[in-house]
Amino acid sequence: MQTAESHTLLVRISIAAAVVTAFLLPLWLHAGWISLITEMLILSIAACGYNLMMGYGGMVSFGPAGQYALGAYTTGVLLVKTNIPFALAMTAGPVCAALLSIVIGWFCVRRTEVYFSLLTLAFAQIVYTVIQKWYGFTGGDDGLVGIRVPEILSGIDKYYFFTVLVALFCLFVMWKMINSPFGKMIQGIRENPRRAEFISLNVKRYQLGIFVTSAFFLGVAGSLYSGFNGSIFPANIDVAKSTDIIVVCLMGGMHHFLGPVLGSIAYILINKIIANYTQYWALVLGIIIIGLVLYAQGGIAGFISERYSALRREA
Amino acid sequence: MNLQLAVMQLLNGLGSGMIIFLVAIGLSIIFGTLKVLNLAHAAIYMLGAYLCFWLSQIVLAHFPGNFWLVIFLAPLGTALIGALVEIFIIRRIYGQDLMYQFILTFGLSLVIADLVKLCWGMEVHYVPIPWPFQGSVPVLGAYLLKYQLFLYMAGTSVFAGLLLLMNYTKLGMLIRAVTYHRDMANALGINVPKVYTGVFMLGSCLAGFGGVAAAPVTSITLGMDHIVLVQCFIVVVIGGMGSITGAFLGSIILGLLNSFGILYLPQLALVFGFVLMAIILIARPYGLMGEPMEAEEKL
Amino acid sequence: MIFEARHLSKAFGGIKAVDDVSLQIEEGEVSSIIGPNGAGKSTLFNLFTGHLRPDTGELFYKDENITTLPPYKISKMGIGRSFQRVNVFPELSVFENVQLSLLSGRGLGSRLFQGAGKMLVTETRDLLDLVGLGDKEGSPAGFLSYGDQKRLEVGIALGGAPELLLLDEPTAGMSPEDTVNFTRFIQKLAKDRHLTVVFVEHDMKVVFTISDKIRVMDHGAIIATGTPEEIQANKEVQRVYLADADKISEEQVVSVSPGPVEVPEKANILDVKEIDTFYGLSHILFKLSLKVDEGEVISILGRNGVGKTTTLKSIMGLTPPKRGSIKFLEKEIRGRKPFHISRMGIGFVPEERIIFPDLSVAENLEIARKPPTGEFNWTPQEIYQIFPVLSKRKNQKGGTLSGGEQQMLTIARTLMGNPQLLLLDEPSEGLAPLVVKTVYEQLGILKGHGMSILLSEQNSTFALILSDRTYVLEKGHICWEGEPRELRENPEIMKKYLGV
Repeated sequence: MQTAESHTLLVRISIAAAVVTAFLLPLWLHAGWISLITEMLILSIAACGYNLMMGYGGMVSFGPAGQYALGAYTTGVLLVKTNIPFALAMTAGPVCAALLSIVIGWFCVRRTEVYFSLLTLAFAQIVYTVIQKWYGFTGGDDGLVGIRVPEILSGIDKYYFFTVLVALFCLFVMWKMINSPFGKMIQGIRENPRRAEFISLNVKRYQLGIFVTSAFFLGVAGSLYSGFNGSIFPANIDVAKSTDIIVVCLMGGMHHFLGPVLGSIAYILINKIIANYTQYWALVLGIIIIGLVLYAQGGIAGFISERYSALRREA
Repeated sequence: MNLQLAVMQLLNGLGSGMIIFLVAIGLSIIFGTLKVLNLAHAAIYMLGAYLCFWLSQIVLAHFPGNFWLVIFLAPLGTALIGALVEIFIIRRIYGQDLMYQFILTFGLSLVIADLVKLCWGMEVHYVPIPWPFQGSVPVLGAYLLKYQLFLYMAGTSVFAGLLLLMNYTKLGMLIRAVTYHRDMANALGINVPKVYTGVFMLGSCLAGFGGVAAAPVTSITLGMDHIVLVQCFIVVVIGGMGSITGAFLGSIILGLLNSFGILYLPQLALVFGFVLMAIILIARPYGLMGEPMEAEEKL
Repeated sequence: MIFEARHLSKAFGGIKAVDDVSLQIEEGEVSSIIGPNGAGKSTLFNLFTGHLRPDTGELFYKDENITTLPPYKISKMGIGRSFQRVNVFPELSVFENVQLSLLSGRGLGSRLFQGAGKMLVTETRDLLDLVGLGDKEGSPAGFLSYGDQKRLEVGIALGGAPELLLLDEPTAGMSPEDTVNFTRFIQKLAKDRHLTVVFVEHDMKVVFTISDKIRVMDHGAIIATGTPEEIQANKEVQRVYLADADKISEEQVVSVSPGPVEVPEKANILDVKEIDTFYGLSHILFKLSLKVDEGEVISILGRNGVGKTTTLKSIMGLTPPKRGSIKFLEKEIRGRKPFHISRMGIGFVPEERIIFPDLSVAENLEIARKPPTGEFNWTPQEIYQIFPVLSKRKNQKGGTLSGGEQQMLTIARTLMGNPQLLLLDEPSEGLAPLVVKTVYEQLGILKGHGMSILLSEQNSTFALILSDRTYVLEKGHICWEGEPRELRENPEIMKKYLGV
């Protein structure tokens, strides 16, 4: 029979194995796959970052693409139009996303439920429209091309390793946060904001905190994407991006830490597969989404977790 | 800016406002009564426009005055589809988290949009302006499309009709009762599921009607639903969720904002709507005519 | 003096929930606030804790003016509170619920990079043991029974190390044994930790046992303050709250109750058999059974939180039972939708008087009209005869009526549906005694017409006069049934279960 300690050990070994495998993948898979996996990792960071706010904080934002865009375009503009070193441009992206989100978030957390969601959508749309129309600064629909990446990172494999490192770092930080007192407070606020108020929590301040944190990681993902793609266009940061992120969280499981990671893998794979067979991928995706909401709200992670508990109970 | 231009923009803005109203009012009513934010609503509008094209240009192409037949048939079609959607899909998510409603109706919008693609392909389609609204009339030095007159009439009649329905008919009373307190209405013998289906059908019918009304003056193509959906959100926020008068006012405001905005700051014309939406959400989230929800929760 | 309120008032719509309340609380005092439902007790607490802003008046805690402070600041200053309706963090474990409060109370809430799992573990476990939940620490809070959730409430409130503890109906839903233990626990706690405790309670035994001081509220105002002995002797209080059956004159008794209807064979119209109802994960009704025969008036009595409303809602299909059977006129109705059940002939009058505020009185009545199922076929004119005050307000919007008028409208509206069985949930709640008398007179008239009635009450006086039979509910079980006469002859039962 499994004990708690052996369970933790199993989890630790699995994680270590996964990390090692991740680093070894380029040996076995060719560039096309590695590129795909890089995309998955970037989407994972975005989705996990978003899930901090959504799954753990209960704050349903309709506009993560806005913060993703702030990261992507800040880094993109800096790398195309200035000579700022790569590392700085990369950190500037999430920092900028976080700073602007302090202002955006301050307004948003003062509203609840549907109004919060719509306000986040409004802000995301404003960001999008400004980026799309400001030809002189962002290149408008022509986008930014020629995003420079330093020697040591140019090449699909090398950028892949970079992404893996960043992803591991981000996930580690997020994990620590969720299990810290701050993370617990956030979950308490999600469960019962009124009660949280009366255990001395300044609810709005905590909500702003998680909003900005979420924005930071979304910005990281955006910046990574700019470097990965070598270019960035408004089409990469529109409403479809928001829905991608949200669907990924649902698909993978909103109530599990690694849910969004599983969701990203599944989502990108499904998209690739469907695209090969039919031009009606939106139809298939739509049906999958409806199915998930009606029958499998826990997503992939929820499903696995249920099976695992069932097995343990039988043991 | 001269008077001529101003008048043009005013008239155009009112016209586009009317179309937005026809679509947004359905969304608002559905949200007000069913408490569901239906993201697939604009897809139904698109379906209405495509049905208009298909029925008037293909099925009934040789029928004189076919547009006026279609303007009854297409909304009926979308109403039926609305009923199916409500009974088999929407019913399962009442009372659930906003997130699930959002994603579910989003998935639904994908399905409907792709089914439209399946049936009618990716080309752009057109519907000619129907008799007797062809041509234009001079107004104060500018030219007004006669079809705009139809739009004004359509918008205001729907507005008046809905007000009459809600405030002076038994059905309207039932809808208001169910909106106020679903359980109490249920306990009084009101068939709440049927009312819900009815309201959803009404909303879908209006969306379809909006699609038909828009068809002669829009390019009927995939993606037309995205543009309209966001406009609907803005209107519903400005006017207040569930308020008929609010949606009417909001649509007019947005229509004018867009048409004058294009004149002054063509680059950022679209932003105005979102900025206004954000301002309203920050300052007065229940909109111009909505009810501030005095939820005095018993703690 | 640790806490003071000066001339607090708060009105909702036109109704004064709190009416010019002033009080002083001394440090170390254990006091209670009592009063009928709707007297304004919870609103008062909400004002104290900053959840509501007073219209007029000021609040002082340790000489600091806290009137405009937000709840989290007030909580930080050392005021702790448990809530009337259970208010925990349902998906977090019991352990996490309390730990959260401890962490936040010590200002550790914003620590980002420490693992919360290992923090304050001993303190959390100690607090859990203190409230008697030590063995349940891993369960999600939402799984606990109502009584346990109430304990958890107190645990959470204590986590912030408060000096002033406000407890809102802490023993509601607890068994008599638990209540005694809890009472002793609070006493000890107050003494050991030098806590000042104020609680709102309906259980008079608790109130009289541990209060140093009692304040009585009615209609938003404090009508009496004193020691338990003084309050028990106070005539005004007796009239309002501990309403005395012998205060009512003989003729009033007769006018209210027309006596049992002479039906040769009393047919059974409602047969509830062993229903189990859950509220979310909480088990509320345990194998509950009861019967109503044609023409009878049956009352269900019990304190707050024992499951009276849930029983009626289970019959009506609003909170369908998971197990058991409910037969109306021999047909099974468990699992049916409420509007079905309504159309079969059961009418429901809820506790909260849910009037459609935008519809006029006449429209409210019209909307409920249904074709008759039995012998009743009410017309608006007949309704207006029984409830004359509604006739005057025919075209007024429902939202503008007074509490008593709304109660009558709620009953009248349900009658328009021509029910054969009328379910009433605490018809006397929040109403002035004279209004309650009127309502019960009207119910008496209905009884005279042959209507079958099942009503629930906390305040038993009028219910006992009108009923043919009574059930007493305790923590989701029927613990006594019989005729009202027997109940009145056994004051110990009344005291035990009803706290009177």
